[in-house]
Amino acid sequence: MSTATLRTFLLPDLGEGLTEASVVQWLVAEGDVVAVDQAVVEVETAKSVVEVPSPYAGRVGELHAAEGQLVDVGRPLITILADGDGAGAADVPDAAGSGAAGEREGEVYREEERAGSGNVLIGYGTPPPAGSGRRRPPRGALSAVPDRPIKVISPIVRRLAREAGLDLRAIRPTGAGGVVTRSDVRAAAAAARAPVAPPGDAVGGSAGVSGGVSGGPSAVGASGAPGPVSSGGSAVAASAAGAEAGGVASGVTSSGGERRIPLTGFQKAAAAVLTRSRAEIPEATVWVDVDATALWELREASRTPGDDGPGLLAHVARFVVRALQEFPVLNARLDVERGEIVVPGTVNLGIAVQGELGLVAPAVLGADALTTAALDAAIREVVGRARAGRSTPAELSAGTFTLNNYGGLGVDGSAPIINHPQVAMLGLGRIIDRPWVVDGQVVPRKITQMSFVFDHRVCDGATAAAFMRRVAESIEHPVAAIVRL
Amino acid sequence: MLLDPDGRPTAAGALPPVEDLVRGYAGMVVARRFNEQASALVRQGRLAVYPSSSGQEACQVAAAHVLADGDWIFPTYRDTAAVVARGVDPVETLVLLKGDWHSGYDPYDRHVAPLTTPLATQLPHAAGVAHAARLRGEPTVVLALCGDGATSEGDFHEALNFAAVFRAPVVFLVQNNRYAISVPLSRQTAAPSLAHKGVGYGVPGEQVDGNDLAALLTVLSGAVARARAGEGPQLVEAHTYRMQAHTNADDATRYRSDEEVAAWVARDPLVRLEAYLRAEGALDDARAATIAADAEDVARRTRDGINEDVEPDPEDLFRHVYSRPTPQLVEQLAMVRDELARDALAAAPTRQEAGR
Repeated sequence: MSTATLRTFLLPDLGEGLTEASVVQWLVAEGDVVAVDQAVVEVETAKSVVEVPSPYAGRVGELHAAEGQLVDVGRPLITILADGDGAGAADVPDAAGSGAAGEREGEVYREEERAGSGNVLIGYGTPPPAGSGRRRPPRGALSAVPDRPIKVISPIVRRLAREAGLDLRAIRPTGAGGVVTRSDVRAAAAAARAPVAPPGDAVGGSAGVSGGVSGGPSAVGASGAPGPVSSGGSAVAASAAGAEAGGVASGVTSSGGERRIPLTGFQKAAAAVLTRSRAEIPEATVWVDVDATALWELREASRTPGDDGPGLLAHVARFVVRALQEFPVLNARLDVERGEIVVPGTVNLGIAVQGELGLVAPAVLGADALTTAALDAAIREVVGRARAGRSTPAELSAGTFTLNNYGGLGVDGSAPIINHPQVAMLGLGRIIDRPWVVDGQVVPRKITQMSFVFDHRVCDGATAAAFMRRVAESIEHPVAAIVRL
Repeated sequence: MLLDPDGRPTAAGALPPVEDLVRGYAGMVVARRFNEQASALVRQGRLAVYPSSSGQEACQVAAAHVLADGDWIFPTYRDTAAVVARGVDPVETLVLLKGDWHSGYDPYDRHVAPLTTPLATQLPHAAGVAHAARLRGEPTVVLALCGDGATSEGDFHEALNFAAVFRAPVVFLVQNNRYAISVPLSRQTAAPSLAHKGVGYGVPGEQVDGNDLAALLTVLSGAVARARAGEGPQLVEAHTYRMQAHTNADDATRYRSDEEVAAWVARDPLVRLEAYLRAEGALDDARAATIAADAEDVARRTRDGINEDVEPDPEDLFRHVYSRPTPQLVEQLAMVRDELARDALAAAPTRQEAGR
């Protein structure tokens, strides 16, 4: 049994109805020897992070996706030079030819999802996308097309016709009672194909795809760029462009200069939360300019040779936690069904972080039990994990309030979207030197603008303003605040 | 509890015969390996879904081992390991989750009812089979499995009531693994225990450590013997824990803590029994290696069998539905045959594309 065969393992549906997964980490490298059922890759689906075991034993020939890349279910994941003891039909003997076909199938599947069902039966379906190149004019004079419902029973017939770009009304039915059969569609497709289509036509779509990618990275980078990046070429963009074209390309479709970039699973999930927040929450925003000079000086004064001391964010976080204890309703969530405000017994302080995949707000759990120094360490830890895409599900879902330091992005103000189901978010602008009037004198001071967005259903502006004043005053008079913590 | 988590006998009672324990241990090793193999197969796209009973092997094996050949067992979807322990072919046990045309095994062969996915529906069936056996004067006992979540279903209560009223020889084994998917037991019941649920129906209830095979064998064989002797139904609540997520489509870290899971790792049913058997001299390295090899063999057969693709016959869609097919089915079958005949004619060169 030493005849080696190339076996390509296609990404399976890992959790009842999933359509894609992103590669978190490869556990093997090309050239490694793997055993049957050995975990080869860690992928993240919309449901969880899963280690995927190899169905084949042998030597790893090719990893088909880079870490961070999104793979559609049914697309190649890993190719193994198998020992001959291979498993059944999950494999395709030759990976090279299957790529384009699989891609096209995925595309069709998505289109069918969008199309809904049954529109072809009546013949008034959605029009073909302009210039998609996938439809051909049906054979036979259009004037001969009967203007009546078409008899189709099997959805497979509709699918075949759609794949071939044929109008069912133009197909001659030969089934019992004038029903269009599969063989009718095939015959019509063969007739349409023979004289007209150039041989390379079917491959044209995928060629267009790789063209789309070479022009693509900057756009991908712009949406995925982590914080401190000045222009397009972010780490995300670089790794996507450097990777084998397949994965990112798989979704990008191009037509006449206009490009379509599919949302990643992460982006879709984020979009759902953001949309829900804006749709459900009647939010209001207040803001205030704060003189952070005293806190800045205190932070500098707290440095020792061996220890930098807590950062500004940790000090603000500590003040926020203290203020939340005073105004617990802002640390709550709203149970709309029961008409109750649910106040948790603890503060899990969410910190907005630009992670590798996008914006996340992992929480420091039990932040109300931490000193400023401990909070500082915990924030660094949580933020570090989030940047590496390694936040735990608990961290990502447990937040009761979010602190958003968008000042790190170089802006002064923002009206951020509340992280549903939370009810409020405090935003910090950048701290810059501004002329400020102190005791009748214009002097340079370290000024920041704070914004506070809250769910107006849980409290009124007076409460929000009082909360904000409490935080602002703590920043302006940090010593007085700290001794009262 | 007859064996504590470290495998030391407690003073709670006499242990079952050591050969029963060795047999049970071997069954648990197979069960765990089988769970691992099925979990791998689901991540390779060979099974659509798999609810693992990893951590609950003692319940699974004890349920199968306390029954006589003529007895019946009524499993749920998580009880594949019990079905295998009862002697059903491991591949046939899993084909339901693969989507084979026949969706399972022959229930009459090993007296194993189909794996039931709807919660608790198997319990009235079990009570009914037990009642029928009693009417026929047969010595059959029925063991019905369910989980903690199923005790909130109406069928659970109807089955207990029916079985009690008719003194049906049925043992209800509730594997209380503390979660109905993500719903904790505290949101499932306000009763002091699930064993208490029998009280209102006149069914005696008993609680047992579900990770202690010795205790399970003792409690369940007692219940089976009493049922066989005509003393009617019993309810046994086994306290256990599922170590894996509900299925591959579930992320258990969203509703239970790592500390909680770690505490149950320490109560592993295999570790406990292995420690005891080794201390007693009933298990040595050679015997353990044989048992592990047997388990590996079951895993290999499972893997090979599930990886084998069976060509479905489209006409099977119409068979075995009614003993006498309805006119509609006859018409539909004719239509499918017509399509297939056309394919065969049209597609001589592209046969594989034309379908089966």
